Amino acid sequence: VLVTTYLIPFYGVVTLSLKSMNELSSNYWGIPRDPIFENFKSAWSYGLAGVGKYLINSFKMTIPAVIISVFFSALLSFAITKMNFRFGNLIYYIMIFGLAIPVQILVIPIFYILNSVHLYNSIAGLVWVHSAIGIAFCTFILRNFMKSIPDELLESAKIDGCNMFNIFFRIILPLSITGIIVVTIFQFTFIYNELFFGLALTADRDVFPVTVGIAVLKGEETLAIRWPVQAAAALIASIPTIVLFLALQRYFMRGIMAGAIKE
Amino acid sequence: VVTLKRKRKLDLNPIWFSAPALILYASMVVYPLIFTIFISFFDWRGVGYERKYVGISNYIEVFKDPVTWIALKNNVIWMVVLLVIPTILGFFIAILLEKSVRGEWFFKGAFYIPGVISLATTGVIFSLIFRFRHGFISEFLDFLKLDFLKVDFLGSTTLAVFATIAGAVWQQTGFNMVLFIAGIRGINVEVLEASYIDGANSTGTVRYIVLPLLTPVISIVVIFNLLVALKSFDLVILMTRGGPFSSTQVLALLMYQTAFGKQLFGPSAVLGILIFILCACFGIFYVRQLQKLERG
Repeated sequence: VLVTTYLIPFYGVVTLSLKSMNELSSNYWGIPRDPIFENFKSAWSYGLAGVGKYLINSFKMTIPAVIISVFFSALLSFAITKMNFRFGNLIYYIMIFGLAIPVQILVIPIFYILNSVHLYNSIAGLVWVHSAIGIAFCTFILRNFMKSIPDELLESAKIDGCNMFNIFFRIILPLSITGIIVVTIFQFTFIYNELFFGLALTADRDVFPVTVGIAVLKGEETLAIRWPVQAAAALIASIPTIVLFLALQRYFMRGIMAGAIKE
Repeated sequence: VVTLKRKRKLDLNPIWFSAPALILYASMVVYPLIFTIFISFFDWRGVGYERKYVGISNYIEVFKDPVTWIALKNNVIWMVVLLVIPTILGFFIAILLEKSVRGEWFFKGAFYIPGVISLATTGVIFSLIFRFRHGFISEFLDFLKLDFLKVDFLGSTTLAVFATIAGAVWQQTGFNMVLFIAGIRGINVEVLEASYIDGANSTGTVRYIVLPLLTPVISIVVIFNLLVALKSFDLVILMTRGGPFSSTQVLALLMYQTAFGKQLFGPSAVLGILIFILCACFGIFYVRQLQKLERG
């Protein structure tokens, strides 16, 4: 019973998105008698709702931001766990502190900085912001994963003549692969779903990420973009993260536990 | 001498590994954080305008504004609701799922999927649920021939807040459930078996054995929910934009609107600092709790 009530919103949205306005007035709750894909078409097309374009923007923003934040954080975590770094612990505590900062409060300076380097209203600007913000979380998780790698492994690699770069790429990265996957999927979900900075830092539909696109759609209800179209747009927008979740469910659960329970 | 030289060349300084991340982090987190505090003492009406030092008058202005207090009150309502409902629901679902094994992954997925979709999407879905004309609830009441019960949730100054929170409850429950499942898995099976042997029934086991052992997880869940409540923004801007008559306003949205609607950067920074201080209080409380638990 619980599951059913929990899933009603999904059922409602899916059936709604498959019905025409006419069918809605006569058959609101039933399974669509004559499913139409008009709503999805209007949601997708750039002339109307434009979710197709927004989705591409979202990927252009999310993928580089995830790669940058995960890779840089991996380097940093390596430095602070395995390299005898004097400031290692200090950096780690700064990162924990960073996790507690409500990032929304950074928005005015960020807006100002991006404006002055002409990256306001650009995907590159969003990549910069999201990859920087992601570092605290990624370092927090990756540091814990890397800490569990035994030091003896590195010692023997050093004796065999590996330099630190080789050690990083040949030993550390492969051994902390679970951690890398966990932070990658979490970063992807966070950044893809982010709305606040998207709204504040973009101004026209050529660069809108999909969350902003949906928010704008929701705000301007026109004759062509009625709410069944909004429902379709919302569904399209949620496909990537749901697919990611279903494919990597195991890692999601593990990540939540690693992030919350370990510390 | 030769070997020494070679060794130095190979042993890279940790600075080179940490510099990219640290520079990036400083540019978009550390520097803006300091800058926000700086702005809060200035009168600044948008990029391209001059900044004028005004002391603490931004702070006075913000605390005099009744809307700030409405937003604060709503954030408290958010916190109370999120503190109670998803925590309890998540706990019971976790207990139920851990008992019955069949189809467990399907149920877990079903509860967790709302947690991976964006709050923007959830906002659209919950607007469709609560809207007056052809909303799910309205139509359902029509269907039951109870149309006299129909309420315009999103247009009501008392109910709209709860409509916006509903989406967060829907999302947060699955996340809490996963945390509880992790916690329950961590409990030693032998402890549970011992309690059964001693004649405890299952309610008793849950009440006296599982709950106390889960205290650390519970405190984590609670803190997470409180932080979510303090940062709430997406659902409110999607569903009501803070209206009607600011009745659903929350601090983060007010901050956003003050900065990008009214171009009042100073007061907006003050609101940001207010959110920060509130979050920091819970953060400190959280660390204290953890330390207490570790000590015994």
